[in-house]
Amino acid sequence: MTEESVRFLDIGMRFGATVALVGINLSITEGSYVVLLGPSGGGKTTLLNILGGFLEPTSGRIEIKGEDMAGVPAAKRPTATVFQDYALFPHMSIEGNVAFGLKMRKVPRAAREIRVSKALAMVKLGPVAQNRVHELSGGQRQRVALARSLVVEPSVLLLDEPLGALDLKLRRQMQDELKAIQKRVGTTFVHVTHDQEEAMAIADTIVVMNRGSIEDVGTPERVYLRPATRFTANFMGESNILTGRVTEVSGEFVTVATANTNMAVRGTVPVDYEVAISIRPEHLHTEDKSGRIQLGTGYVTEYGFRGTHHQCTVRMERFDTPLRVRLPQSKIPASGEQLTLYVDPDDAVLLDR
Amino acid sequence: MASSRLFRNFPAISYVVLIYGFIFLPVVVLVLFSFQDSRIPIPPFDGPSLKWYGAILDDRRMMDALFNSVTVGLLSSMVSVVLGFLAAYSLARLNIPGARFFQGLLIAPLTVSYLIIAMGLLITFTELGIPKSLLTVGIGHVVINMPLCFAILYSQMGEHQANVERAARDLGAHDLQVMLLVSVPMLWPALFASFVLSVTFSWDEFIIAFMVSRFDVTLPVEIWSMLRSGLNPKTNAVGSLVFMVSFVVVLLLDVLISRTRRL
Ligand SMILES: Nc1ncnc2c1ncn2[C@@H]1O[C@H](COP(=O)(O)OP(=O)(O)OP(=O)(O)O)[C@@H](O)[C@H]1O
Ligand SMILES: [Mg+2]
Repeated sequence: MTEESVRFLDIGMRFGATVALVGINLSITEGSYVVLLGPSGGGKTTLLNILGGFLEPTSGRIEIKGEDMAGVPAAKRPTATVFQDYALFPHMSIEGNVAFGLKMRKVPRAAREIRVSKALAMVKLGPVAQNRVHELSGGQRQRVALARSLVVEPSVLLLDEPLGALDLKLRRQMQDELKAIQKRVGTTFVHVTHDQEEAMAIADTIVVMNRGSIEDVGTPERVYLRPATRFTANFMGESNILTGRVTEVSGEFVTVATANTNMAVRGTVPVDYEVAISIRPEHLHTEDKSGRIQLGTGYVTEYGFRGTHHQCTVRMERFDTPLRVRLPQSKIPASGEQLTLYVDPDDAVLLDR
Repeated sequence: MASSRLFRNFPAISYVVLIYGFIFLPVVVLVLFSFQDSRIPIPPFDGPSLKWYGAILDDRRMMDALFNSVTVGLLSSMVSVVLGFLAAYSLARLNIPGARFFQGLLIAPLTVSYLIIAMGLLITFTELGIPKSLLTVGIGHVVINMPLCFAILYSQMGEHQANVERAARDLGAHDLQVMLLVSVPMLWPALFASFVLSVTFSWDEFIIAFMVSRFDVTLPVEIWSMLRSGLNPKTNAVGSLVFMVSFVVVLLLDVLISRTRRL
């Protein structure tokens, strides 16, 4: 399970004057579901195209299962791609689409038919095998594209925003299905999206990309709960960022002087460094408990009910920016209400980038 | 109510009637007097009679010219489509330096008058010592139709089709397989449309065919030499036939295009 499937070694890519990727180093474990997450223009598609063999990087190297992929064209790579617009063959039946890759590999007819019908059954499209592409719905087309790529048994499956064209409900349903199929076939999936909810729901590993470089790599829990950079903290859900300066280092903890409190948080940064602390809105509380630190008092300026919680904006004394707070369903806030906020130091994340 | 509206719209309606009359009257007159019974195609109409159509079918030279026109039309159009497709494919898919320049160069002949092209071809063929024949007429028709085929096909090779071709390549197809199994079938309607358009342009092209042919001539040239001996209903009959063939072909094309739109 811990075998290495893909390795990017110092990949760089430029298009004329545009730098699309710089210094990408990344290892992908065999059989894992990796999601490349980031804002538009971050370089996700470029990285995927380099892996798929549609682009040659301007510097660096890619290995798949230890083999150098330099100069190996897409057709010869052990990868298969699910394109964002699906890129199905409109002049063939669904079955014809799925059989295409096997025909190119000269798989004999009998074996081909078995593999095609298995692949179609896996994506629940058996009954429409003879239909034309234009007769299918968006979700069904997505499945055809998936079956067409998986049937050739690639060692890495690449998906560029595969759910981008679907409506929200279908997207959530398909993401669960994708995850289930990946677990069943055990192929390494590399999936590009800019939807962080989608990323958290399906990924084993999230790779956060911004402006052509990797900001953070880790499990969804790790990336969400202990973001490595300020960008990650803001991009993965909501975050309150407090800036301050390190005044004291003691063991695993450093003390940071922010605008109105001194906070001890886990981390290793030398004294006098300017740092930031990220606190998720759901980690700010209105009751004191042992171990919690008081952040100060403020008053509610805006609030709204979001089903699972109340979302409030709280303006704090001596803070430049208001804090975003999530209060439990039972606690209905009022405009102008005074709140005293507490945080568990373990929930505060020290960011030095 | 209805009649007052009719009255208010009178200028518009008469304008429409005039325009359509202006466009179609010559054709109607041509076709009508091809059924004339007497020898002169002028009023009063004394038909209908099919004897002039019979006369055409009995006319050896006319039938030879018809056969030549069909041959030149089909073959030159086939060549135009194949060359236009290959040019569009390479310019749309391969990273050729100066692709835009070559694209412009290929489309430019569309703006040059047939007379100029015909003169250029005549001079070139004479210089090279190529005798005037149906082959030179065919070459001339490729010269005028290839840019058209190129323009139509190039416009159909957009980003989506490029992605589909990429998918085929990703699944293991090599270049020739991508072209034959994906690009050509996907472009089938456009390929057929450009072929049919080329055939209709070749079918009634006169100037080039006139200037670069000698003994074997195409139908428009034969009609022209017949016209020199004065009007008679036979010329009307053959003109009507030429018109009908063009009309049917264009109708066919229209049906095909509306069929593929619905897909
Ligand atoms: N073919 C190209 N020519 C020039 N610049 C390009 C090309 N492809 C990508 N770029 C540039 O590279 C950068 C990264 O683009 P990329 O498409 O990889 O981003 P992305 O993360 O996939 O964004 P999105 O979420 O919008 O798809 C962008 O600045 C883009 O303009
Ligand atoms: Mg992209």
